Amino acid sequence: MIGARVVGALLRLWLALCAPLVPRALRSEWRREWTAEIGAAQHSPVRRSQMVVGALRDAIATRRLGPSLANARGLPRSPDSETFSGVWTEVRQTVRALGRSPGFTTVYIVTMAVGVGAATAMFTSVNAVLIRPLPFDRVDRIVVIRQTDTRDGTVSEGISAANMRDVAAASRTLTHGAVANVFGHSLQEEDRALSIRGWAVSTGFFEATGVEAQLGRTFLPTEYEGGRDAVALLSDGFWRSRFASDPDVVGRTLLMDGLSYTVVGVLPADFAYPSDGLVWLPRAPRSWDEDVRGSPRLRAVARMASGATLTDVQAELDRIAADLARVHPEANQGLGLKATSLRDDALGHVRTPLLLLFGAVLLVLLVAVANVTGLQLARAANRGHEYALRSALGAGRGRLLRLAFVESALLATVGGGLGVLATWLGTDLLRTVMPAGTPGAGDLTVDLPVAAFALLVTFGSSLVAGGIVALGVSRRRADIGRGARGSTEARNRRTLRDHLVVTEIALALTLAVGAGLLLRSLDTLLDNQLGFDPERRLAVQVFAYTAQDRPDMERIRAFRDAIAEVPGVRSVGFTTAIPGADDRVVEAMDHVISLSLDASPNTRHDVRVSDIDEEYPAALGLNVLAGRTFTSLDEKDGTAVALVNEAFARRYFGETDVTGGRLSFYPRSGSGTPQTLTVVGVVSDVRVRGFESPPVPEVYRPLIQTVTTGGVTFVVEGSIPPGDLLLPVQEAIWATDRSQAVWAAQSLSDLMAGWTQRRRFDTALLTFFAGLAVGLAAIGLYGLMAFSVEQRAQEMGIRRALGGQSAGIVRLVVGRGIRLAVLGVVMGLAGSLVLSRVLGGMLYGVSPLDPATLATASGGVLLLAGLAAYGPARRATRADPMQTLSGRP
Amino acid sequence: MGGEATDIRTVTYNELLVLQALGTGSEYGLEIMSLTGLSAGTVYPILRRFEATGFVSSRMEDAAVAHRNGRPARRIHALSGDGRAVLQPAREAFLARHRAMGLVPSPGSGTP
Repeated sequence: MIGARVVGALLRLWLALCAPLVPRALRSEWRREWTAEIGAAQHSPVRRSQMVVGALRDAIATRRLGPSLANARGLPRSPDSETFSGVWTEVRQTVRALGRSPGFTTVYIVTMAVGVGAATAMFTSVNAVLIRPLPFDRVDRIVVIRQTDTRDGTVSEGISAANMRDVAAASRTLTHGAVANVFGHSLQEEDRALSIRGWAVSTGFFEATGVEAQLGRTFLPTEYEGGRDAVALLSDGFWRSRFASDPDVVGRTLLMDGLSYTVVGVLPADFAYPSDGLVWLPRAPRSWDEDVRGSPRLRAVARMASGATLTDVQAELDRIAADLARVHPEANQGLGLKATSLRDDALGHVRTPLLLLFGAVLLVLLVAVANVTGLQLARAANRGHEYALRSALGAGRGRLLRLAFVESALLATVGGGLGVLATWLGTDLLRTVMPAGTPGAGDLTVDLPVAAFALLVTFGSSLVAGGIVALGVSRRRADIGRGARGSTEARNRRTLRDHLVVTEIALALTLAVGAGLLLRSLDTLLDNQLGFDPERRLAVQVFAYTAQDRPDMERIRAFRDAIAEVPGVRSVGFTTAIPGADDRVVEAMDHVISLSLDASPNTRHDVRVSDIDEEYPAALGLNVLAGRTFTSLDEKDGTAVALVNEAFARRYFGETDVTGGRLSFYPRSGSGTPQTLTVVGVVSDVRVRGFESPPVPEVYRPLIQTVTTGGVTFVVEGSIPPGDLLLPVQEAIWATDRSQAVWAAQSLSDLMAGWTQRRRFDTALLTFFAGLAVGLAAIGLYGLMAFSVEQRAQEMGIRRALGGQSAGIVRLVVGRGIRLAVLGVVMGLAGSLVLSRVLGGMLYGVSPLDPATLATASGGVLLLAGLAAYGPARRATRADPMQTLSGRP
Repeated sequence: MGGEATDIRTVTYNELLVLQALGTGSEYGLEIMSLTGLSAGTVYPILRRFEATGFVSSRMEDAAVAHRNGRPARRIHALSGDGRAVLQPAREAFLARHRAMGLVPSPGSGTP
């Protein structure tokens, strides 16, 4: 029944679409007739599709025979009964006319293709990242909780399991709260072990996120208790690749690190939270959770109770944080807790740059529209006689306006269509160049919202361009009506075109200043010294544990020795916390420990600690500023020693050479006897989180003396490119132990580049858009000057005939171009003041009003404007005065 | 008479079928379709052409009659005097043309 109604509605819609083809005098009868025929056809064996085609063919036949039919039926022939055929005739005439002006047509179409294509491509990104809903049930009710340090305002990457457990227990505004920690397991393949990355999630995780399994189920409450049969949930991708989308996968087993896990379900295809992973496991409370209460390394997610707001949650978290700091002062000194909505947490860091780039591309579109409008105005001026003739023959204002709109709509449609086609073809490229880790970037597609946007900007642009041209045309008609001289009208249109070009230059300069500021920021950033040389260095991360789950130092050293034997390797060392680790490819294993300089528990400082071997400083290229590095003599039972970096020495000792200084490390639980270490050397500072991160006080310890973890990263310095070392180094590890999985292997320079990837992407794209805008503006100015020279050919001819020098004519033309450009530059500088407010947060080491950038961009635009005006000026000086005066071409 | 004049000597097979159907009293487009087996996209344009030429007259059915029959008013077609006058010559012209090509048997030649 509903189906029949829908079909009926669709058929009526079809008739409504066909009806404009039918002359107005016959239209209403035609619609009544076809409504009745289609109704009658429902009770006959005639197929609906036949009636659909029949209606269209009949409408076409009726249009062709319109006057005769109207006559036969004794109907009057209304004067506007041929509206559609009038438009159709104009379309055909316009197509023919455009074919005779291939230059104009090509420039118009290419400009629109560039404008619409760039805008659509950027909207595709905005749509995939910011508009498309996140794959969670009632995402607005989900919050992410992080620890903060109220003393310096820093926000941690997460929270500790013990603190989150207490938060969940004490909170009334949160219904479910859970933590997730990333893990790596080795999955044994035929001849080697593969690393499996996944997330261990605590009880309440799936209730907090509201995610249900697409196959099977999520974890039962008892499965979070530990000590039972191990179970696992698979990601959709892993299920498809490893289990060939087996619908009976539930109940099958997965062998990881020698332990068998039973698959209980498969997660939805679009689910990857907290980030990508292959397997999700239940996280039972760990025996050491309490010991690491102060270490905020786990991701926490929670669902707000019905009626609670983010403000309520934050107020409650403030109270809970104060309680936790009071109850656990050793681990929670200065503890704060911060709730952020999941949407803001996931998208906050990309929203501003993406919207900025989208704004930039809309400015490019505006420049493109201004450009084609200018072109069309110039063309309208050349078709003045045609308009005058049409007007004299009785063409109304509406018909002249329609002519302008038909032309702009036709050209914009073709140009916009090409732009959308280019976007569609370039989606894969766009997906590749989007910075890694951009949420939703993998789903970039030209879907319905993107198509609607493309349609909107294409027809919006054609309306704007056509509207402005129509304004010019209708003024002309009014002038003709008043008997005004053509020069008045030409002046009006010239002024309009002048305004358009000035606007183009202003917009282009605004973008150029923005791009210049971002370029200078990147330049300043890359000038920062990292403290080590990432070139020709490879980072290889492994997790090596004994069967008893203890760090396996023997195996780690054996791997190091095997890597050292690989041809092309100069030196190799290892660390628990490699600089530049991004938690995406290479896990950041660094931790913060409380230490005291005077053995007093009351004067403790939290510092970043890395545990290393004796080869690491040389392998990374750290400079030893004082004392020595570790040696093979700093053995397990030897004197406990430490290295500190320059930032540490300056901050806590006020000098560089602090060898012999004593550091007291407190256990992670905060109580017990401290371990005392002697500082044996000072090394250079390292920017551990890429170029932007300031050096922080750091302490290095020999891993052999602490044996804190089996997760280490080898730094391999090679005499050959790191890419050539990738396989041999992994083979050396597998030759030592076939069961050892290599977690990550990446060149240090790529790892460091990852930290500036988003900035480079934003800068490159804005620079590209600015380049487009400046180029289009220059073309616009060139077109205006060329047109102006053509229009003033007679004046130029007279000047030359009267002995005017070429230089004078060049000065006249270029001077006008420069005057317009100066006006545009002034407006553009005002625009860049607005832009700099938006850009402020994205700049590094550069003032938003950086005089050098403003001056360079303005100078560049003026120079280009001068060059754009010079071409037509030179052409004006070459024209034969006698020819121009006689009007011969 | 405006529009397209149909030359009765070159009338097509489909046009002849529509003329013939009208000649037998069919009034509605759908009726002609089911009688001739032609599609809607063929029948309706032919009806318009004949109407423009004057061979067919048409009118919308009386709304009250249609209402009584529980359906919307439909267009009724009928052969005009001109149309009746051309039906036989058109049929003969068509047969003669096809006979010349050997597509239909000559009278008295028996079954081919």
